[in-house]
Amino acid sequence: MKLPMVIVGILVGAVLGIAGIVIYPILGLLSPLLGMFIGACAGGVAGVFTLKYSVLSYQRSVEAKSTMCRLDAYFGIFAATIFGGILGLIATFWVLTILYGRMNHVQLLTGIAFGAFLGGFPTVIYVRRYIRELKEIQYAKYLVSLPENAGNLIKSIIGQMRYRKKVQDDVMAELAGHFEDELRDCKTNEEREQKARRLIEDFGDAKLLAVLLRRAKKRCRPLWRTVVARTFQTIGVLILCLALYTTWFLTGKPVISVDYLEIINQMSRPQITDTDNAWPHYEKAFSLLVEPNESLKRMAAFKNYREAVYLQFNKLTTTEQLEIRKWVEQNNAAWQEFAAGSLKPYSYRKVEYNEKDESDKMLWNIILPHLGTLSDLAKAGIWRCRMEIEQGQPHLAVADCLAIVRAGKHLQNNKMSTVEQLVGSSLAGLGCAEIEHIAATQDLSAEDLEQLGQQLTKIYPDGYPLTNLEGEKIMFLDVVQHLFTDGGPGGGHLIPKRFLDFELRTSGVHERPNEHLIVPYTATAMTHIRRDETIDKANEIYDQLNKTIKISPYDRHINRIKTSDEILTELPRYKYSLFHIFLPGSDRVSESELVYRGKTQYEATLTILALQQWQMEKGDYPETLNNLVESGYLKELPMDPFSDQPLVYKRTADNFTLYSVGLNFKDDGGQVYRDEKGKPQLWHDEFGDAVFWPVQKSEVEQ
Amino acid sequence: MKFEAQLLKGVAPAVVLEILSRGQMYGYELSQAIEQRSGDILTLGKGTLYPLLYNLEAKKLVKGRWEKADSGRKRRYYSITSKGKTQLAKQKEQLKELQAGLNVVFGGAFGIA
Repeated sequence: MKLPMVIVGILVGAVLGIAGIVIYPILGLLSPLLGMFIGACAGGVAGVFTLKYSVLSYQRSVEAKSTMCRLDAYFGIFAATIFGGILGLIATFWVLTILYGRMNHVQLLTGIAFGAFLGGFPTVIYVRRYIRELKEIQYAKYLVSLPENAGNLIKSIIGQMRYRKKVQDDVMAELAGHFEDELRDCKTNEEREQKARRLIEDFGDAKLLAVLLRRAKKRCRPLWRTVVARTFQTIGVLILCLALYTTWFLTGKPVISVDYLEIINQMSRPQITDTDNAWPHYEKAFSLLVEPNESLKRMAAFKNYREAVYLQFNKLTTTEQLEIRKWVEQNNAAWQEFAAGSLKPYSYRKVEYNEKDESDKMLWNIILPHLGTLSDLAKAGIWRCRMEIEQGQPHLAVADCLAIVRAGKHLQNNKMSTVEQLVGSSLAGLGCAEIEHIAATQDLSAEDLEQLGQQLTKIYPDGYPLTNLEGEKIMFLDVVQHLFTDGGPGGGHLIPKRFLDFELRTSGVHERPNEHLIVPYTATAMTHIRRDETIDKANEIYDQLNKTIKISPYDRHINRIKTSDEILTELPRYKYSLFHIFLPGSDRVSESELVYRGKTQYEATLTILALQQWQMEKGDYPETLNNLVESGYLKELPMDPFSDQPLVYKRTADNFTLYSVGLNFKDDGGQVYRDEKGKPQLWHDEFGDAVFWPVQKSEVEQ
Repeated sequence: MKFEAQLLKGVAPAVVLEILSRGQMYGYELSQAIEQRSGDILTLGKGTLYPLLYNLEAKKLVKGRWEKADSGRKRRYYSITSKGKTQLAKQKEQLKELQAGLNVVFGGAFGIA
């Protein structure tokens, strides 16, 4: 075997591959393909040269009857195939990758397939030619004594048999032997020729005979060989089917047939005139908002403004007061717009896509930048409120708190986004907590308290809203129509590339994904349930979650109703990957603890105002909360969703305690949880009650 | 005599098994034996002989064995197996019944020896 020819083959392949790049400076798909093609051809040709020498070696080994020569020849053939053809291709690919950088998988696969096919084609032709020459040498051994026409018939039959070499040799030996025996008694060449012709006729059609012989010999092969052959055939068919299936799978495209954005906008739009819409005021407030500077953002009082220690403005340091005052004054105009907007009956904004690229226009991709801005405005309102209290203007402070609660209600009524609903609930809770602080520290008259209670009640005339998941379900259906094909088995399948892009985006990754990730995502997409089943499952889960939301946390705790996480653990990831990406974020929502906390806070605030009013009018606090309801101070008893009983009310000598049993569902006697620094935490997962009154201070303050 | 192909197709295996039951033979020898022992009535086409032998070998009714002939060339000799003998007996029985049936149909034309 001429080893240097193998190396020459690789070098020739690489050189011609590079030449392909230099000569055809067309960017994009063409050059890499052409380079691949040239490299593969070159590799194939190099392999052929090596093969030629190997075949000659084999010939010599047969003549020399040398096992070592034969092994050398076999190794040469093997090396030619592997090193000459495939490594030539790999060398070209390596050079192309260095010069072009990473190629996408379509370019790579197409280039390899195209180049390998055309590169291998001349190899196959030359190999067949040399194998034929080998056979001629072998045939000569059996057919040398036969007439030419007989020899041709036998060669034709054997050639068309297309079976293992050993079997062909055996059949050739038998047929040649038969002819020799038949022609043995012929005395002259003419006689031999004539008899041979008759015999050839008797043998009949060579092709038919070849087929019959092949079939019969196949039946003779041992069972294990049949099993192995069938197994390889099956594997080959399966690989081909898998390749075709994968190609069909990868090339699927979604059909966007439903405008869910319009559905969401229609769903959210109330039947009231545009002049009653708060949104234009909020938009103006956003544009007027002056964001806090870095110094303010770093300030502990500013960051932790909800802590009891910062409730009184005059307790801040001079520097803190100056900086906060300055920022609040800068945002006076923004606040006025905000407050004006909060007085409107509703807030509606038409949702638009942020994305320019059509393929990215999904409800999922819509960003909600205004939520951060609204929170900043609410913070400005809270500081205004505290400054007004310091200035002896509690009525102005109360008005500011009510504006925050009303703005929170606007967000809670938004059906599109559960995130907005949660932010709304948080804003409303912020306003209510501040009102409680005002009631605790300011001398409000009974009338003031009654009015305040009525205004708070008017904000939620239909009761405190719980989470609405309709918008989220519609968002999921929109994701489905963007990630699945439409039609075919099961209604459509998950498209691997779009699924990959979606998950990366969900994780916050915006750079171009690694193309190798397409392989595991293709496998995941193939095992994922189909479109129709996905939609049915989504409907089932959201129906279940919507029912769960209406059940109080205590009821869910007692009856062990499944949370979103528990629902997800029952769904195997390989079949329900999309659900595992989409659902976890809504776990809190489905449990709606945050919303029930907000509801409890709101009802506690109303109760506190009613109790204070009672005390002012009657000189003492009532014995039970029922007294408030019976006397019309409250419309109904405030229920604790964490016990399914009324909030706990304990009258003391000149005060009272009002609390919820909290997230551990246990009555801890009105003791709030305090962290290692003594700061109270209203809602702790394991310890303590959520005490609304008296307003909790840190241990240092106490 | 040249028979209809379909007519001979059914009996060819039985004929070959019967001939081989009397001793092993190679292909050419077998084709000559068929002609001679049937009084030149039956001839098996060469295009039929070898596929038939290989099929019988696949069914394990005969087995083949290479031997070196005097000329130095190798020859494949075929011999009947015990399974082949059982099959032959069964087919002979069926042929007898067939012959009896045909006799009745054709009014004793075939005669029973």
